[in-house]
Amino acid sequence: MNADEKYAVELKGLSFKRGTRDIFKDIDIRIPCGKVTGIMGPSGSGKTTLLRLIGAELRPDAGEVWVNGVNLPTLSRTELFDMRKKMGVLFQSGALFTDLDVFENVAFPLRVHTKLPEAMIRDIVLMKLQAVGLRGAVQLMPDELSGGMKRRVALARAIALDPRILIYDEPFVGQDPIAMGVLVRLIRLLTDALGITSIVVSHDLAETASIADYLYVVGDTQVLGQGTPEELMNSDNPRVRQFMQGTPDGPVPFHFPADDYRSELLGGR
Amino acid sequence: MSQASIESLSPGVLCLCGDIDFTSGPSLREQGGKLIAASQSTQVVVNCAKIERSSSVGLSLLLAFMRDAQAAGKSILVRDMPKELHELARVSGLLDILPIEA
Repeated sequence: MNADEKYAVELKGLSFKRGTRDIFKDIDIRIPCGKVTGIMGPSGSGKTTLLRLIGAELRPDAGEVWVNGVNLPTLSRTELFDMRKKMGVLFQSGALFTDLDVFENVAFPLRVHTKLPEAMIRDIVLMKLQAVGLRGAVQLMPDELSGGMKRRVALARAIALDPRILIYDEPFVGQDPIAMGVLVRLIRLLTDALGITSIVVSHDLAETASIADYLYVVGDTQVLGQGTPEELMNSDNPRVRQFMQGTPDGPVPFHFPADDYRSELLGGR
Repeated sequence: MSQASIESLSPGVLCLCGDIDFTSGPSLREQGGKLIAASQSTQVVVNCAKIERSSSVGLSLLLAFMRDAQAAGKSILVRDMPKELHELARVSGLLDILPIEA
């Protein structure tokens, strides 16, 4: 067991490569229990990869991934299956089953992971939809929902099994300001009222900074900075400042590393 | 964590105890239904003080017991609901529906 129960997730000395390219090199991240932690960084900085490492969809090349006091890379497939019941994920796309109505989408994890009688499944589905404000949409099909409603149904499904950790992958992408405000309020409500540990992976600075208790900025294979939103806004680190202020070029370069341009265009190939 | 159970402590009083989760839910549902049917009282009190950790299953059980009681012409009173379960009931919009003792 992990000694420090203050943290729902701890990445220790974690390294991960895709092919020969380093995505993360020896990083440490600690996500406190019952708080909203934002993981931010430019597109391509490995944020979604980080989520997949926390969800044990990927194995690190080195280091430890502690979730709820257990080092995931040491678990068997069955143990991982059980562990994942305690983790909800709100996917970027919502990932609703398009041929199932709203009720069946939310009921799905309850049918797969529990042996509850139908009446209890119905109670829980209605409770979760009430929590996200969409009980009235129970009979609708996903293609009858707006983008914001789809994401709320996906959230209801993600909390169906009362997870201790809830991971949001780019929750604000493509949402109108009202839908965004609703999501921000829901993330905060679920964290504060139910004691859920929320991990928000996003590059939407304003929304994530407004909701997070603590932020990590990742990029260039490293944790570039960490702290409260206010601390990061006033960071002395030029790479963190570049991200927080949205400057297109700086210590994190605009250009992906490439061979010399002139040689590539004019060189002897 | 102790094992979940439901038992009749005194006439008309059921005690819901332990770690109520998705595994223990189905058998608690069945046992609770039988105890309510067997109760001679017109009001059944469900004492929740010994619930150690609850989830939506706990709320669903209380709703199921309400339906059982209603069908048998009885009423339910929920006593000593733990704070965590109360918060979950609030988020789920159940505070006006569950008969929680003031």
